[in-house]
Amino acid sequence: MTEKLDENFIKSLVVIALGIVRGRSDPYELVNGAMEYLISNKERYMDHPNIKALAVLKMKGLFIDGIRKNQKMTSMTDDEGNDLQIVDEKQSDISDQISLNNECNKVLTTIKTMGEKCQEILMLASEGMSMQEMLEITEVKSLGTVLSRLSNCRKELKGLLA
Amino acid sequence: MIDETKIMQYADGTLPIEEHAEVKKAIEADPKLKELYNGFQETGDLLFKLGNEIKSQPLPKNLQDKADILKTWKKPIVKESNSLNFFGLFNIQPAGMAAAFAIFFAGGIYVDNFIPTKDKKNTNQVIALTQKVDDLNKKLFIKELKSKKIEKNIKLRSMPNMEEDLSTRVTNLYRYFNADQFIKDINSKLDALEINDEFVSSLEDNDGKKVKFILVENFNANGNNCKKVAFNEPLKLSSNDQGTDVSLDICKINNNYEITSINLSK
Repeated sequence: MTEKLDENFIKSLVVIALGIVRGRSDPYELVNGAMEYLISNKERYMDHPNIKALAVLKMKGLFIDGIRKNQKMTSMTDDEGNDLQIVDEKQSDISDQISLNNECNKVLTTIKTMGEKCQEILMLASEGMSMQEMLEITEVKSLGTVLSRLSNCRKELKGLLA
Repeated sequence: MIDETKIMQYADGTLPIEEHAEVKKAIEADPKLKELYNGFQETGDLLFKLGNEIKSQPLPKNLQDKADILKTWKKPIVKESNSLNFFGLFNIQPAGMAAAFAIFFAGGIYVDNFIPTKDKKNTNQVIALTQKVDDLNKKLFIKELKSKKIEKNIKLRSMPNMEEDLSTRVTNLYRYFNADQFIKDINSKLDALEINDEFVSSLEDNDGKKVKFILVENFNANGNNCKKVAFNEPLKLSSNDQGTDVSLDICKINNNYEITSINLSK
């Protein structure tokens, strides 16, 4: 799919970045880092068929790199290859920089209390991504996994908001 | 046993049309599934609003500068005219289909997206008795009309500018208008109608009032007998919509009427 590249593209990345940083770093910085990467590799990526997925994966990489540097970690997985739960001190939060209405603020605050997989997929859904796009970005094995993860996370969100 | 993910897809309007009946029946028969369905509708609305709220925030200057750089990368070729014509591509000749998809992909239009559930606060929005047709939604594309042409980029995502309002209107239309049900309701009536005749389907507005349609025109397209049918009053399809005139092109293909295009006025 061809993505129109403009400020709305970047705003979409901000929404997704919120699901990546999980309130532990500045999503704008993450988006900025990914944008700098894309722009400095213009010739390589300007005709990429799914530049948004590319940008999101870059943001995920940058986030993990940042955590690694802060925690001097050499791997993001445990001995059995499972993702480590990243525990990091809270840094600047987008909530300090933007003003959401009460309802949205409550939803975002609630999402930030959830597990990282839920945070990621809920923000991807919030951005308006299709299941196929979510599949590409979350790098899970199947569409069924994306569907069940989103379904479970939305049920959990509903319960937390109740 | 209905998979919960199918309930979610049904609530979002992304479940394939052929599975609607089974899921709808299950929801109606089981209060727990109904509750689950309502919950998915609620979270769908909330996530949609959250995404739009975040996107409505201005970008920091460093990102705005990068947006300006990105704009120079690609110039999507999508055209908008005074009236926008959204086609469901079913039963179109292969050449037309190929052309349609060419325009679809060149245009950078996202339609296969996460679709929110209805916002009950909006008035004058039409409500279908069943869910919208996501398959049709997936196959939408914008056609350049022969009349006055205005170069404009359109992106069916996110919110606030004019382009995004169009996206909202299209999404909302498909949230409430179930094309399959509509055709089922009116298939037997259409042949007997004359120009300017009013008729109703099972479609109701938020007040439970039947939505009226009017037969505007009979015409021929690709050898098929077609009819242009319009909603008899403008629809409010987004919070800042002053009223959108919506008409449908319905053609008789293999002895059954099918919607071949949905037209939204600017």
